[in-house]
Amino acid sequence: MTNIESDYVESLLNEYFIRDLTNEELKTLNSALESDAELRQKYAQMTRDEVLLHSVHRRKTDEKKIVPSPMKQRASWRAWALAASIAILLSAGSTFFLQTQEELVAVKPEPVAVISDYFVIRGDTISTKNGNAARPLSLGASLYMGDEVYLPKGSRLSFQYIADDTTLEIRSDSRFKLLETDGAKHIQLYQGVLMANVDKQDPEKPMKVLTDESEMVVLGTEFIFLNDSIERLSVRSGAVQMIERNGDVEQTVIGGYYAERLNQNTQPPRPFEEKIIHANASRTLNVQQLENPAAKKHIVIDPERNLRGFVSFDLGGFSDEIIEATLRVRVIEFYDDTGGEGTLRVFQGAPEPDPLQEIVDLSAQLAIYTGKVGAGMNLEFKLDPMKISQNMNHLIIQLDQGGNDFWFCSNKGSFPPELELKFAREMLDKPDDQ
Amino acid sequence: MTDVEKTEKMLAEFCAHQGMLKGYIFSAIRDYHAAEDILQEIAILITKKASGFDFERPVSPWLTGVAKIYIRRWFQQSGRQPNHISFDMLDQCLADSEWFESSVMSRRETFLFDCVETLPSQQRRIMNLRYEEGESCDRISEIMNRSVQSIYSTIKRLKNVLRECIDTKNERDEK
Repeated sequence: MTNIESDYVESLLNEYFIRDLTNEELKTLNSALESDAELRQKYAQMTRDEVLLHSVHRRKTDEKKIVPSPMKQRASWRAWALAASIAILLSAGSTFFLQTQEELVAVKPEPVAVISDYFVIRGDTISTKNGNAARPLSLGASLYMGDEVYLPKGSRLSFQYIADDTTLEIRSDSRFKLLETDGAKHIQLYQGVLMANVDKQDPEKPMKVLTDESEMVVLGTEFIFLNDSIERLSVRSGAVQMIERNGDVEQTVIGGYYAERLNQNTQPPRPFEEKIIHANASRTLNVQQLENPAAKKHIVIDPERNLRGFVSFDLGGFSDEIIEATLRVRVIEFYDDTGGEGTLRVFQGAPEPDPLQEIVDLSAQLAIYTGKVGAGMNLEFKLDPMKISQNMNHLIIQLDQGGNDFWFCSNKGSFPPELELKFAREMLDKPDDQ
Repeated sequence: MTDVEKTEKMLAEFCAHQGMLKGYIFSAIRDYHAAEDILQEIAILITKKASGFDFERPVSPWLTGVAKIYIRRWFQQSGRQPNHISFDMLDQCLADSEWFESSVMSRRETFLFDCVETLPSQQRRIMNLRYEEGESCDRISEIMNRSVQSIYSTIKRLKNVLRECIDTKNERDEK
């Protein structure tokens, strides 16, 4: 293990007890522990010290709670009378208190879902507002009816309904509200992307996803819904009914099909497929200025050092119509660098980019992202599908001046850059119920 | 061995392994109060099961096996995702560790109690918020008006300071 890796593992070990590590961080820690007996000893000691810290502070709390002994003196009849009257008052008070508690319990809302996955960049929080009350959310926290949740950029949230196994994943920069009508699950999606895996629902009480313009009725299925400049419903399995709120259009989209609503027009469903292509090459441009050899495994984007990223994907003569293209790069931690911030742009580059050549053709810009992204999180760029080549795609990622540098995993690392394509297939046989 | 003798023997084994078990459970769920509750439930269970236990077998793996069931149940009941170091690794790191011997634990706890008192008030406040009031680092950063990163760093540093303080007291005491 190199010094850098060893420092990284040490910091994970230290933070294991004070924050939730991501799955990847846990994987790294597990494999480091597996291969290093000394580290296992260190972990045992740290666990013991952590238990002791809790125990000591628990003792301190208990000591604070100890009530001083009353003065030992013979109580006069006045004192007994006083004690008796206090006892009566206390008794009445207890009854009142119990009643109040029961009333409180009666009106206290029951949680409807529990957060099963949560990621937020350091310093940010995902909060929910319900009426006038706001509260921060965390892993394992409950969600209640009426909760309105906003996910800042770079965050991710999944939750599972308590009543059944329905799980929803909400992507970064989304806003939604949990609703219920006569026992049916409703989600108001104001903006963003929602991925759902819906358990079998009561046909009388189907789950619904609502937007300003449409309503999706779900009985049990897996689908992705995008509410952006267009509304796109992609159903992976099962079936979802898509109903226009102010029109007569109502159509059922079955698994393997997608339907769009663009410029107030709902398009008929078409079959789609998804494919992930891993980068066949990636590196940091202008790398001669990069001092640290360890960075060969990374793609570094830093405007101050004129460092840009190069990633290429071979689509091998792809002939289907691409409807969505997502470039996904993994932000990684490097020393104290726990993420980046700023405006990142993706350009279509030349096959063998000249490291010193400036990008002048701004029309070749494929995507832009502004915000912060923490280490361990994927940064996703929604690329313009019209500009994706059917063969080689050479992409250049650069950060605007003033941005805080990003470190991405290269195609040599554990999380190589990916290009996720969603493409429309030719409609061969029209399904009966479309 | 009579049933009563078996129960007594099992309780003695439980006491001997109590520190390790608490560390094991806490390490998986990282909720100290819940770890204490689980430990109590295990104590009750093993007294019931002691009569049927074959004392030719080692007790420690059985105790950690029981602990694993309770840990899984806790995650299930609390609706949290198990996001801990793997059980295989916990077994390797903690199951037979001498770091949890009761004499070592109680000695260090006594020293730690004094060491915490020597921390400057601001630092003691952070440790109290974390360990006494059970606040998350996000919440502590809000209360202390500092970045979460600086709270992480402070807690890490303070743990090292306290470890050194305990070790110094320990060495002095042994002389």
